[in-house]
Amino acid sequence: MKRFLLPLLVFGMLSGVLAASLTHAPGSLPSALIGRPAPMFDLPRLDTPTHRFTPHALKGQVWVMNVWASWCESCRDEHPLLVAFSRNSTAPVYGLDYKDDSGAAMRWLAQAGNPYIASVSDKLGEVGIDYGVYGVPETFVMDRHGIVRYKRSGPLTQDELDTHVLPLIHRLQREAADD
Amino acid sequence: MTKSGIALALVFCCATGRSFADTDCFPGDVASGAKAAAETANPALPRAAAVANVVSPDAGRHDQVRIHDLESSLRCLVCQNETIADSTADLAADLRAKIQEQVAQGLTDDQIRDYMVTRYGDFVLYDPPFRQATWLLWIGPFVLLALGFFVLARMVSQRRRLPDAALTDLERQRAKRLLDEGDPP
Repeated sequence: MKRFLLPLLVFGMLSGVLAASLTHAPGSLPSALIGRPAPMFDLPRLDTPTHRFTPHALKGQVWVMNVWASWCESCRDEHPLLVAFSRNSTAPVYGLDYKDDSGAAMRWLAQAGNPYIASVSDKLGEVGIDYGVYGVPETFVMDRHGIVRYKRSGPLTQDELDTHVLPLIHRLQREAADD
Repeated sequence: MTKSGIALALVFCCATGRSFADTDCFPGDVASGAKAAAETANPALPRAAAVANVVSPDAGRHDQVRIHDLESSLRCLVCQNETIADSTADLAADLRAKIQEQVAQGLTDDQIRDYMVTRYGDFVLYDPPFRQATWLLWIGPFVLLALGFFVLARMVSQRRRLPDAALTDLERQRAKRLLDEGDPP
């Protein structure tokens, strides 16, 4: 009986490792940016390219940056969630239109609704590289000191919003109110 | 023993992760390889081209080797089992351009790798550094190997300590009979 104990133990351990891996998405990586200042940029606005936007303007408030593109299929999946989220105006949502055609981007927003206070055009994807974007859509939450506190690669889900994003935003806003 | 041996080997593979990634890492299709080679040979970026004109052809070749080495040491984040040199992904092309640009600007290999790590994390490196978060990756296989040897050594020594199977007189007689007759009764 005892001779089966070790193989059984090893098998149990292996099963544990494999079972845990099932719930772990290998594609999602921890962002190297979390806890660090959000990279600065200065980009033209999508709707009025003569106006420029920089995150400096948002110092002092908790805000959300969503990286999107009109060519991105999974952005369409999360779009209604973003529209609903911005309607509740929990925190301002800004868009980074990543390597996109401005005309197509404007048409998409006109058609599906515009959840963004403003979107900026990152035509060359340079700002995307600074933010470590590797799969659109991506969502970042910045605190009022301009530090990145959350990042998600891939479409947001209602569950993700409810369990992670909203509680974090509320907490950050309370922190902001306290000091 | 064989069962636990196989299980140990499996755990070994899982813990390293590297062996899976490396066997899955296709060298990239012919088109992407050719594309990467063409890009290294003719820097598409104006800045890189300008510098290539100034420096000697030898230095240019040296830079190309450097660029290719750098690209081969970095992981493509989109198709995670390919290097930036091999991948046809859009982002890989952007990052190849970025590396060429930075080499032309005179940045060192370490500076360029740091640039990537600050944006994409250690995961972008095919040769991750030894850190708190990666110690299991580096030490794990050796720990498992040591564990395997320990188990093996114990089994061998236990088997050696078994008493010699002494035969009773009856058994001895029967054995003799069998040997003498050649055929079983």
